[in-house]
Amino acid sequence: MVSTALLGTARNAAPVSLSRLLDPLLAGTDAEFRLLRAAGISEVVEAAAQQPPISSSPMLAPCPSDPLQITSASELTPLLARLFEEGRPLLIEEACELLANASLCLPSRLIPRALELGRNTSSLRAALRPVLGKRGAWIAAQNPAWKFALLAGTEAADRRWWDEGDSMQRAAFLYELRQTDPSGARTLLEQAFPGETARARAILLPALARSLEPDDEPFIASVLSADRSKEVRQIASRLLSRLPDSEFARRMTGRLQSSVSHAQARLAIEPPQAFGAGWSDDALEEKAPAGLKLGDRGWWLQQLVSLTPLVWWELLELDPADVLSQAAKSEWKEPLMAGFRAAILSQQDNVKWTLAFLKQGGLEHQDALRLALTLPPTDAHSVFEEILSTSGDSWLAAQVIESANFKWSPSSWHAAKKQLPHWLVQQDWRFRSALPVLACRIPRQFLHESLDWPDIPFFAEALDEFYRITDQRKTLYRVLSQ
Amino acid sequence: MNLTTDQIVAMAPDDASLKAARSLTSPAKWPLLGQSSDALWGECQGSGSKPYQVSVDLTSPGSKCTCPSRKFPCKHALGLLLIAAEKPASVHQSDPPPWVTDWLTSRRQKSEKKVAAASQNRETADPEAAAKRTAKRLARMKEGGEELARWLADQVRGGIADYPRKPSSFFTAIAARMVDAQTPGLGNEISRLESMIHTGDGWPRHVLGQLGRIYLLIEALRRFESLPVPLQADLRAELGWPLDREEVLATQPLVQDNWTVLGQTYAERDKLWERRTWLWGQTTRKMALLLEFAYGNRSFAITLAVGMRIKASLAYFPSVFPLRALLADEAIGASPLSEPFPAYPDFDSCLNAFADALSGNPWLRTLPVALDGVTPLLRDEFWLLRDLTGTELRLQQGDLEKWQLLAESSGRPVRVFGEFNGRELRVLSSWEQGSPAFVATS
Repeated sequence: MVSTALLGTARNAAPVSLSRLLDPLLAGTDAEFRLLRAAGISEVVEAAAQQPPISSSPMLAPCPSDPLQITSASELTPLLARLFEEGRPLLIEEACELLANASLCLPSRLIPRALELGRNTSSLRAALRPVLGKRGAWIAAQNPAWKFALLAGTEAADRRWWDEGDSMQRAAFLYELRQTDPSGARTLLEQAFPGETARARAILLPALARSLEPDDEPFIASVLSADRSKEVRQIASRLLSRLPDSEFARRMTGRLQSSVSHAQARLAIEPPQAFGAGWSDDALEEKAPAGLKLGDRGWWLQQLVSLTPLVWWELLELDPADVLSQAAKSEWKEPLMAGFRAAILSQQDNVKWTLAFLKQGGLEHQDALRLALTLPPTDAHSVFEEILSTSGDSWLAAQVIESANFKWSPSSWHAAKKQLPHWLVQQDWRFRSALPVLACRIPRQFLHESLDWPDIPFFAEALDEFYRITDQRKTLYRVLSQ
Repeated sequence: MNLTTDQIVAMAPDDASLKAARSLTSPAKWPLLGQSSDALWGECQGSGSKPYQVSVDLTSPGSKCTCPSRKFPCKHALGLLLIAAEKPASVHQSDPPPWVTDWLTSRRQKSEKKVAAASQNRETADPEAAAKRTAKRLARMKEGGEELARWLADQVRGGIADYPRKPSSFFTAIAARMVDAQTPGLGNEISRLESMIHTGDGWPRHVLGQLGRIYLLIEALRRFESLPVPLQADLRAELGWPLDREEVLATQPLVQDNWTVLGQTYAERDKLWERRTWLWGQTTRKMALLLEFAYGNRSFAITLAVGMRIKASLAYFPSVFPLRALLADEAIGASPLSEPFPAYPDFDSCLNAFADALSGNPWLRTLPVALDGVTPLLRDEFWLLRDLTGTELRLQQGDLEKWQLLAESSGRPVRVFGEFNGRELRVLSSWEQGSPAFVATS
């Protein structure tokens, strides 16, 4: 019938036939109408006679039920739905953390949206995994785009993270393992290294930063000398700079010694005249990156300072504050300060140096913030408080509020509260967009405090948002703290 | 009538209204808030000097606001509903102010008038004049049908092989002729035909089937007078000439019952929004379809959402298989369903039901069905529904919806309600212990 229709009845005059039962219905019409009537009848008959197949394919095993899952009837469900819809990362992270602490998982209906969110925003994945739970993992297994959640509901200490996870998860596994079994973690990495891509190697290697010990030296040194990726070798060199007794550290110290001498507590800096032989084997670079306005000698000096263990400077019988203040007055100030900054950032747990560096000032506040974040919380808070309480500039305050991404102490919050009227008066648009973020920072015990806002229309919408967020947080804490 | 946040969200005409409503949920913005057993009300400070007066009828779904917005429900009504759902303590029980009681009273009066008018129409309907109008239109339509029949014959004589190369104007021209001939339904069928050409390798079969379907409509039109009356009504509906609302309300018997909303869909085409609401009657044990239209905004006067139950009188459009109906009075909110609605145990019974319906009305497109014990699953990129006998049917859902349905069932059999077109099922809701779990959002 179809071929007749395609060619046309003018070319194919054979009368169309349906079946013995139905043909009488087609009697007494021209060829065209016979075909049309037959087509119409068969359309209806086929629709009525559908017989879908009985499948013999096995079904996926149903998802194990998750007793930790919140029911849809919970008052939290619409609140969580709204949080996921609005997509504000800070609140989502906080909500996920609270749920995880209460050992609860997201309700079923929110799982697909949460998975999509995790797919698009990789920074949220670590927060989402614990609350996606087994049900989330079961669903994610059916969509390759949600690979990140395959191990949802399991812990970083779970071996499957190493065997099946993505690079970030595997790095997290190693990091976790380093706490209890540093050499075991190193061995795993050593064995896997040859088979990994450069990108994966660059993500996995930094995990050794935890519990770094002299036994790690041989492996890291071999990476430094033999790895094909420049990025990976640079990671290796930074790791070795944290082992003062390593061969690498000895070499760097020797090189730096040629450039730095001191007499009677005064430093004399004489940057290297040439890029030495064997320097590139240690991942040092002869040519400065484009855009850096340093001469060759300054660039070499900067690299030497950044990769030499800071403890060497202390052997000069000067304390960090002194070293830094002299460096800041030197004609080689820029490469020196840049080198110190890099060294302090990579050789962590150097509270003395960090504090001294921050006190030194002359830093872009962005850098100060970033450095302060490397400090243990007690020290970081004091830095932040100082910035908050001394800076009347609302633009800077906005930056602090947005980048101080950890739990604020009561005193930090009080400092901010006190400055608030000064900041608001400036009617800065950057501060306006930081207001909702401020609502996320309030330590939980102060959520119920009422605040005295001056009546400024400029901030009306932002204030609404501020209150909505504090309301949402109060509800989360009320329901999940029982 | 207690609405959940989900139901309120579903009522919002668009995202902007919902967002605006959320920003109105702080009680500080409402100098006056109150509720009684009949109504919810408040005064909301807007940008003008006088606050807007907002009231929501709790017995019979509807709301009113003095703001100038043309969207319905407006952001103030939505905000008020959200406050009542999420912060009930802020809305105190008290006596309603006069502007609320006045509104409620006028609503009741209007509803009574409507019912009275309908029964009056019933008595004074002029059958003779109506018959004359019908005959005139029918004659015009038959002419159009004959013209289309000749066109169809031409197509089939010359062959349809070159359809993919035909310009769009080839089809829009004949569709426009059908609109002129007062059979817009035939025009739609031609448009549907055109869209089938570009669906891939199997298009000739589908196009031929569609040509056949159109031809059968024309043949039926030729014999209009000899068709049984309910089938005439179905044919008229297909041809784009359904009965007037007034006529239906005036001539059809009213069916009063407690109706549960089992599913709802919204579709938009050329700025015309169509809302389909499926109701199931507890005592009559029958389905009904409310079809409502709105131009421009997605605003519908009666606020209905899946899971709600209303007590109402409906008037069904005549048909061999009556489904489409009209609300004949103001629906009154009722408490949620106590017993589960019936559902087919497997696809076989569902297919038999579809075949039965087709044998009465051969032009039926979708059948509302409820099914028990079906499991949604994904296999090789096909979305399927599998019943307890192992039979599988294709699922037709939006992207995120598919996953939401899968998440709710998680590999276990569930009870669903949806629209079945003979080959595929579109799930509109899934149910767990009498309440909706998954609800289609578009």
